[in-house]
Amino acid sequence: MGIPDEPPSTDQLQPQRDPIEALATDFAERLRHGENPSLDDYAAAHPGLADDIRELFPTITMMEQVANAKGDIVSGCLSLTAIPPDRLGDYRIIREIGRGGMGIVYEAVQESLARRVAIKVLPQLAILAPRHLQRFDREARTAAGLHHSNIVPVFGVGQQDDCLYYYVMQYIEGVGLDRVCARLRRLDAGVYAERLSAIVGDILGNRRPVDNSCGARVEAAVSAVAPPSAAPQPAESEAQRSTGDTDTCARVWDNDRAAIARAKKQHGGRSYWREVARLGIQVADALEYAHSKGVLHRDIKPANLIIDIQGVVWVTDFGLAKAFEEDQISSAGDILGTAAYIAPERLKGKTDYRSDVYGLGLTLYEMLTLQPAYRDPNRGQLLKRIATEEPPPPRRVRPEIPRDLETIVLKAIAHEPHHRYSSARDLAAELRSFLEDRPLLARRTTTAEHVWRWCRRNPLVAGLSLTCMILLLAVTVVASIGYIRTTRALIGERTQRQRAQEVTRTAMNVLDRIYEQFAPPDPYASGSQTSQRRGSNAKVKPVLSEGAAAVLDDLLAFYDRLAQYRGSKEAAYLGHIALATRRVGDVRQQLNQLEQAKVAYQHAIRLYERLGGSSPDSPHSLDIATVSFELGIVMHNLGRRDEANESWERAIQIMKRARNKGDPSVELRSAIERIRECISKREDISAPPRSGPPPCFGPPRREDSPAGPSTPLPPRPPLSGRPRTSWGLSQFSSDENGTVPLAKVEAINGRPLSAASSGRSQYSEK
Amino acid sequence: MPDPTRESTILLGRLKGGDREALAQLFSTYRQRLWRTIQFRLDYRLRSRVDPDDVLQEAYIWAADHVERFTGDSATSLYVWLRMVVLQTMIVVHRRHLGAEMRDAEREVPIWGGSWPQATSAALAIQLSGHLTSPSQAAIRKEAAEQLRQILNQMDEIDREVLAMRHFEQLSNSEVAATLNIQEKAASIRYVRAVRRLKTITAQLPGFVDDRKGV
Repeated sequence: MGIPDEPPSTDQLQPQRDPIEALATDFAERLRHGENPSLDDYAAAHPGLADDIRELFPTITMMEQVANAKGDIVSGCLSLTAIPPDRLGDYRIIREIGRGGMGIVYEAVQESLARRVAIKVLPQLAILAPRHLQRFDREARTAAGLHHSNIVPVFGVGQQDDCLYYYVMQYIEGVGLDRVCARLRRLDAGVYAERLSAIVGDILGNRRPVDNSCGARVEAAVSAVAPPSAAPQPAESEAQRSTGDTDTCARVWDNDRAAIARAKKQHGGRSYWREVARLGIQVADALEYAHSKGVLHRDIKPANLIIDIQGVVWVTDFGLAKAFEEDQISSAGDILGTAAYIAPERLKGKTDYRSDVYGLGLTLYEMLTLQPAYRDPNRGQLLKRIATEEPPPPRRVRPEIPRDLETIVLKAIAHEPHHRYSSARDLAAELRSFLEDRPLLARRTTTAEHVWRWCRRNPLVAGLSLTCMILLLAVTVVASIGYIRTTRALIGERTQRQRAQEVTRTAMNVLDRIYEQFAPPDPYASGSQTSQRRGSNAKVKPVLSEGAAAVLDDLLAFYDRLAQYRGSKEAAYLGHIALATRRVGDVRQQLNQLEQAKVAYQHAIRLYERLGGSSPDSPHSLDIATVSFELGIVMHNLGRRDEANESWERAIQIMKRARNKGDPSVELRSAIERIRECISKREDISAPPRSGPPPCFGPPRREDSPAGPSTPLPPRPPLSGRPRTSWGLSQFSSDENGTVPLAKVEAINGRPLSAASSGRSQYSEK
Repeated sequence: MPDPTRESTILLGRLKGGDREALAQLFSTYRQRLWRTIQFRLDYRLRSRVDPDDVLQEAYIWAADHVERFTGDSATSLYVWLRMVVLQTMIVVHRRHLGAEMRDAEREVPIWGGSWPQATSAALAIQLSGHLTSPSQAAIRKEAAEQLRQILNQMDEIDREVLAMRHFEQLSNSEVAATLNIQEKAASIRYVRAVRRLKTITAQLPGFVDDRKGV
């Protein structure tokens, strides 16, 4: 666009107006539309005013930049490169389309290919350190390797003038979900918006030259329809009218309330929830794909998800968060917008694929409730909330949200990663179930679990109140048992039994969880969690703190009580008693009370046998194997080598029988898991003198256990980096009798061990 | 800036007849700029608590209820009137949220005409200091903001106000003139003078005007 020969504005009929002011108005207008008018052109067109132009226009440029940089500097986006570049390499900058903590996004044209692209120029401050640059380079390369229909393709990276680093992406004509949410929030129309794409079209139609939201992302202007140079207001109002004008809040206030109410009634909002679910599926699919390539996003949030006019969702900024991660966490106030979506474990420096699941869960939460799950103007408070609080359940915010969708979201944003969906694929599958009205796999969290999770998040408070909790539990258990006894005559036999079982089961659950907390290594944690945790303290023989020992000692009383109660002969009930007895053994062993541990284990084995454990078909045969294995350790440490070997032998025999049954049932799978845990635990507690397999893996020959009587096994040297679970099992399978072929074990565990472990190592943080 | 096109003239006519639908349409035309006014002038203490959209909505409702008080006959005068309504609403909102703190500040807030001179220089200082390209540590930024505020305070109140209206609120020259109740020529002269002064001032602070690109 050329320089106007005459001052162009409406005031041109008033010749008395200061001519430089009119030119300045025009100049500022063009800046506001993201153009980059040249000072020289103005000066050349108006030689008489050239001096004034050169003197004043830079200040005008500055004012416009300041005014449009971001409404609220206080909350602080990074200070960004002051003057928009004309071009970057092959790319000609057209206009700015958004900015945020991670840089400014420009619309540009790649001239050699004549295609529209989006360019993200990184904040200069963020890339001062060379390590950031390397990381940025590496992450961009990884992101460029992702090809998925829901991931914004990355074309390349570039650098100019030693200070401008940029990232070239496909130009998506769409808007970030943050803006969609904001729009819906303003209209209070989440439940009536039938098509999200209509909202997108509306936002795009109502183009704003500069976005004021910190998290603004690629946002298209319909520049062909309304050229930036055109007089903005009339053009804009035309566009609004033609797109249905839903944004015009004034109108909505006055006229559309009734329409909203009608639509709400008519559709019950059902289609909106389904659209949100479909949107979640797209993102989950994209994440699953990226995760399968070993790439984490690390910053899934509404602003990083762009929805285009066809309703397709695009995930953008893959890996960028990693490049700036340290700064993200540490720099005060600079990422207020992002902090709200940080997964709790990231605050502890851990990130894995389930953190992305969490981010998506929070995004869905926000799409459903139209409010962020966490918000607090104070950043410290916000982070504290993320670490310790759960957001209100979506249905409490909006009761009309479908229950199943709420269940899915709550599971996705569970505080502990292992309570979430274990993969984006699982989340996608669950959302599909919702769409197809099939039952969900996720179950709703029970009150007991809420209490427990709260304790996990608030260990200090929980620690203080643990004694209280135990006392409370004691009262409950004793009172219930007493109640059952006294009312036996009154209540039918079946009801009574069910109650007894219920009480015992609840008590066992709670006790076991306390036990897990205080008795490392965690015997019931899921696979990846366990291996990560063990990986970190593999070299350390777990030592019970005094406090933990005291708690375990307390627990003992309850396990004992449960173990001694013989109210019923029913199998399920006896199973609980056996488990309690076994836990007594575990705790005694942790407390190094070996004789008592021995007695408890032996009793537990007898109980399991009474449950039919001697038969290879019994679901408890593998419990016996596990307990026998533990008993072997206790015996070994007591110096009774023969009895130790006997116990181990027995465990091995049972495993073989289980293997011979062939069909890997759920029980077998969980038993194998437990045996694996025993194996690892065994490595932690005590180990054979050589770095060979522990006796349980091969026939426990005497010459394998040269430790003298009464000499505890010396600590085992750490394994050099190999995942212990796979080590254990491969040793297990290489047993001369070929107990369980490795391939079968892998199949049992759902995925090849090698793949699982290598995949994990890609995700795991330094 | 929005000219009194034929359509808005028609709308204006309907508005004078008390048509609230016309007000809704005209309001939506100005919505974005009114939003900027709020964003710029909202007390920093309220930024996390008050959504400009809510203020806008409140202002709109007030305007719709008192539409007969608008006596102008041009789009410019309507905009100036709506802006005044928005500023009034903001005072109410500030008072509601800041309570006693506000009562002191109130004296500095002439409702009509001069707007909020003190507030303007503080807001300008905050905004301008955010523009510093040097490391933006909070302390440095705060110091720079304070320095700037002092410099801006040396400026003529009206000049400062004109700058804010022209750039932060995106008022046109004629709208500024109407707001300040001065001639358009005077408004344009004031604006150019204000830019010149600001240039002199910011030249004292390195890093404000970037000359790299020869702009």
